[in-house]
Amino acid sequence: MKFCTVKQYFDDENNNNVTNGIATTVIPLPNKHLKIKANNKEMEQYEQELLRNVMPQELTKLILAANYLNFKEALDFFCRTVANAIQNKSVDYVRKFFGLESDFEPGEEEKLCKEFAWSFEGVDED
Amino acid sequence: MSDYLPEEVVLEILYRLPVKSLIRFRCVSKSWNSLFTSSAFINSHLTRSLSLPSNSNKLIVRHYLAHSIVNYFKLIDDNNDSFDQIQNIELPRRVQAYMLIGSVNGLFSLYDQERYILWNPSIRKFITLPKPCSFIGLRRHAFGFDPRTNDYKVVRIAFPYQRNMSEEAKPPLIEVYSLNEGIKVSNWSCPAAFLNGAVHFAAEYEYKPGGPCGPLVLSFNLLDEVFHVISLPNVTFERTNNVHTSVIGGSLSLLFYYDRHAETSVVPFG
Repeated sequence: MKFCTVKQYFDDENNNNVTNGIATTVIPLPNKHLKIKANNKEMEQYEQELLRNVMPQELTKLILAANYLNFKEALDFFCRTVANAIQNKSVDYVRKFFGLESDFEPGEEEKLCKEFAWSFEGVDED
Repeated sequence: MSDYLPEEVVLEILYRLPVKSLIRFRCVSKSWNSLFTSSAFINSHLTRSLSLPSNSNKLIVRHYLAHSIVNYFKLIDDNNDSFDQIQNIELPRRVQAYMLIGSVNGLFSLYDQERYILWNPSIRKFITLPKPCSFIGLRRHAFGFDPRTNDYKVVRIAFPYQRNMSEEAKPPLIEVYSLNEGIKVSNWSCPAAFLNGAVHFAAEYEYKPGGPCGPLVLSFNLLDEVFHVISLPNVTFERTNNVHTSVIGGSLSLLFYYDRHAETSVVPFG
């Protein structure tokens, strides 16, 4: 019932949004989810394990797949995982991750960083 | 990186970030800086945070050392039987001796004698509220959020000290500070009539939302600290903002002040 789009994907051979490797990760999720739905602790452990095996950049591909398949639970799970992965990262790391560039006037960025210096405490090394 | 995430997905990630990270990521770009300070984003982020199971059942605990005026506030998880401390709520140094009025949506309202502040520990900013009327006596406070107007309000009810029994009981003074309006809400700063152990003040209510208003009397019983509404006789009144309660001839009355004349209506009470 969650996978009306999946059949469409398999029929459409020119699809380059979802690769085979990713399909093997995303598709088993609903079963896993149903099995351990009630237990938050277990889900957290599963998430930790998944995070260990997958680099944050890979997660963006997983997110695109989940978004394309309109799979809400997986999307929520992946977004949460990305948020957890990047929350302690530096400004530069986040820029690279989302493909953004600084468009501040000279001095504007320094002013902001200075005003909120406390938010830079405990940031992971790049 | 070849694949970029669509905007709505980026938002989904941002909504799940803690406030400290968002503050730091204001430095990422100009558009992120204006996004994180927009009220739409802030409201969505707050709504998401409030719905997280990990954010429910939190308790604010205050502790202080005897012989010290400094207060320590901590946020603990009520779900967890072991009372593990989750978070120290840092107060700015100069308000460490302040008393807590209340907390709503992560905002704290604190006061000390005649100074009132609103403190947001997530972004580490506070504002000082304008000084209320000065007086000597007992005071009661409340801090709340009105979802209809998306407004935070601090209420103070001041009971002036009565020097002796022969002195006429001074009515309590109700003052409301609205964060949106930035001023005291006018009706409430009129002194309220005091009769039979309760404070009565004039208020208004809309017969239908957005429609015409009618006066009503709100009664706050000081003993059981409960509000009651006193319905008024079925007489039509010409509209005015200047309505006071008073005690005339032993009865509770409403006084309607107009530009050229004062009309009074006596409401018999008990």
